[in-house]
Amino acid sequence: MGLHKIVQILIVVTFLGVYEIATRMHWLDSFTFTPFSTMVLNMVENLSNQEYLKNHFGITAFEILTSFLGAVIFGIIIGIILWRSDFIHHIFQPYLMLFYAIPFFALYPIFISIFGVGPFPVIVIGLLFSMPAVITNTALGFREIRKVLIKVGLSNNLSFRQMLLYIYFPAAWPLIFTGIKLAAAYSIIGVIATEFILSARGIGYTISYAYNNFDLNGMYSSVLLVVVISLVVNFVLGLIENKLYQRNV
Amino acid sequence: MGSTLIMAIVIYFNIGTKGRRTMTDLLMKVENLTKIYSDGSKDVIALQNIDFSVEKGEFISIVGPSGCGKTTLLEILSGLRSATSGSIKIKGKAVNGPQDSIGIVFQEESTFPWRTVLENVEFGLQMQGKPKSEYRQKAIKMIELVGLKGFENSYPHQLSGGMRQRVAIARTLVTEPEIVVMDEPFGALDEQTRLILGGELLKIVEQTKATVVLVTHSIQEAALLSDKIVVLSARPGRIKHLIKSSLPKPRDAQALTTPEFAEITQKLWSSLEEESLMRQESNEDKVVG
Repeated sequence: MGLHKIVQILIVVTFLGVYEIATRMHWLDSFTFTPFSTMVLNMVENLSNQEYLKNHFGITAFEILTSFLGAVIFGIIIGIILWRSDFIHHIFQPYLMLFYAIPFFALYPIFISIFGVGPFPVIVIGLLFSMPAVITNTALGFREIRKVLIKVGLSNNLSFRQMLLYIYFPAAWPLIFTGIKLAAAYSIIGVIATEFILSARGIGYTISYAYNNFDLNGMYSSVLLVVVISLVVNFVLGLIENKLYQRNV
Repeated sequence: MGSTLIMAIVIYFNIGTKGRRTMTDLLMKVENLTKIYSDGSKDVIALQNIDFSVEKGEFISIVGPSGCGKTTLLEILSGLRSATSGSIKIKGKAVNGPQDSIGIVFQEESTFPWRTVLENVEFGLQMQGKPKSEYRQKAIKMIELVGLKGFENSYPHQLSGGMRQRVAIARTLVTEPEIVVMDEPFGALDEQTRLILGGELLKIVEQTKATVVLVTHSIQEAALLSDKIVVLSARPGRIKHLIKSSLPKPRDAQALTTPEFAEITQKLWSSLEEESLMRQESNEDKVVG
């Protein structure tokens, strides 16, 4: 393990340690902060609760996964269309660039009136929020393939299917994967944020419910769970990327 | 003026007397090839009436001032671009489009970064649908031939520029194309590596009995490697000279010091110098006009 890794870990451990002591000694306002160890205990307790597991964690995991996979699949398909057609690409490029400049969640009253409440609108919003990242990166990845690699394929007399499988996809993969990683982060944000306002189930809902009822422990345990989910997703995607990165520098 | 005339005579004489080879197995014939790019309003003639032939096992270089259409000619030869008129025939069959009988080595970095050296070299045969046992064995042999034994499982980014170009050459040669077309394959490398790799290339080519058409702007490279050198004129590209080399084979860096080598480079120099001067003059005319 390199020195920088050790320092990185030390920073987190020190921060959590100081925070733990500060809350236990009541240096920090106990109506705002709870000790880290309490958060962890509450989180574990929540996760061993069947109802929480099924109605909140399970629903949220399902919503995140569905919106993420949907964003990846549709995003790649639409990205391919934008790559093959200059016309469509030129039309939609500015909209895609502007998408993340719009404060998406400020539009929530509209979402409620269109989609109502429940898991379906949550998934749709998570998907809409994360898909543009995949579209943009897929189109860019395919468009930026070095011409000479395509020439190698053509000079080997490859069919379009072979070009796609053996040249285009592997060459564009690093950028597509960047889009996929962004989509994972965006779909987590999209799902949790939508649950705050549009749902009666899910982790986002438990956070806002606990907050409104001054249930500090309940709130922090769910917040911690969201952080843990993000870290796990990031870690898994990082592993996959590392495996592919070796092949793609 | 006088020296040019003498040069022309010398070159003619050379073609007349030394232009004999024991093999006269015609492989590729380029006839009357012309390429015109039309850019909406005006036409640019890139190549005009190019005629030459390639015999089996021959090593041909194409040199010329920059912008004379060398790369265009090469892309037409390899079927990646179509000619405006004229024809290319390989063993009597017209070339229109890429085909397995022609292999190309590109100037730019062209190895697949997502494949190991072995997988890179296997690419062509794998795409042709050959059984794995066959292409793996051939690829391993070819990797050994280009001097990359021990690097089979490395990725291109772990290799130097010269090694990557060896991988690209191996990837092309392993498919055993009738003609290997190379576009300044060592252009991105330093002069020293370029000549060393050039010498190695000759050995490999001799072992695999490949026929090579090489585009280069290095006079030394052309003189060292070729049996026949086609000198193109400045735009529009026409064949200005056809120089045959009598350098003994096998050649290596030693050949650089022989009088024959000096003679060929001298011929190439004066031929190209003339072209470059003419080009400059015509450019100056344009500025004045």
